[in-house]
Amino acid sequence: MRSSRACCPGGLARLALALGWLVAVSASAQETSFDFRVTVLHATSGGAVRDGAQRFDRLLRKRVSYRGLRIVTSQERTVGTNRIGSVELPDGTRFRFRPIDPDGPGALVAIDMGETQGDFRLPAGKPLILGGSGWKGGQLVVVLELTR
Amino acid sequence: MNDQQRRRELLHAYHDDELGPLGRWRVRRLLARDPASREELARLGTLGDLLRESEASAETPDLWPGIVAQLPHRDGVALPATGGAEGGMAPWLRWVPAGVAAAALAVVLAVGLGEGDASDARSLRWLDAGSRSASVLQDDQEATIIWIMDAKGEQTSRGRDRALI
Repeated sequence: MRSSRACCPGGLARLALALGWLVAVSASAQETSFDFRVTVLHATSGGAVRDGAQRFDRLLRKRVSYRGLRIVTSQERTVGTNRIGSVELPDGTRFRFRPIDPDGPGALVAIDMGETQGDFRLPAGKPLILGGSGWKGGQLVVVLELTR
Repeated sequence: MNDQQRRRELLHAYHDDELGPLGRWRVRRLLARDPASREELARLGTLGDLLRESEASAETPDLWPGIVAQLPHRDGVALPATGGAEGGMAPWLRWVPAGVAAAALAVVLAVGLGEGDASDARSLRWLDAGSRSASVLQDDQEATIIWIMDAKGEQTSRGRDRALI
């Protein structure tokens, strides 16, 4: 009897430790989260490059012909692995993104914008720029950046 | 391309393991809710098995004994009945294919490693623009720029890596 009494507290402690370790491991696996910035731009054939859009203008200018560029909205999202971040675009559609693999440089992110779907490996600071949706005589340009 | 064709292409890509993680996830969702897709995928699997079986059963016949019988023989020198042309090859020549293979492997490895370094900078892993077409204007260390064309493809002309607004 004495031996069983002596062993039970130790066994319970080990069980509690094991449970705690499992919870910690699963929590750390699930809690990998990323900070994203989603910037929506409006590129037009007229007008000028507005304040705040110069950084994107430097990236886009050599690849896209336009005159006007302005920031419509810029929003930040913190999204965990396999969670979905979402931003409503001015044309009523939604831009969705989902980090699906935290390993490697940055994050592997699945995106969903209208008919367009894709997977991209996004290192921090390297923008993913998706353009082409027509809106108000110009085109919407969505920029997804991993900030952390 | 209509929905049915797109669905079929998606299932083929899934069967051939050509989809990215999200693509596979989408197909699994489709399979969970659509019995027709499950049947289509099962048919693809059956077809693949049949092809593998036919490849395995189609043995290449050994024609060498028949060829040997028809070749003029030098006195006192008999060609082996098996083993193909290698039997008549000078001993030093036997090392030539191995050397060529080793050199080719070295070239492939060098090119492969070079490409691996370059592809590390690329972000694009998989892209499906549905009924529209997409153009990758840039994908390097600085940025990834994807432009989705409208149905008429007016935004870029073919062969140019520049979009027009």
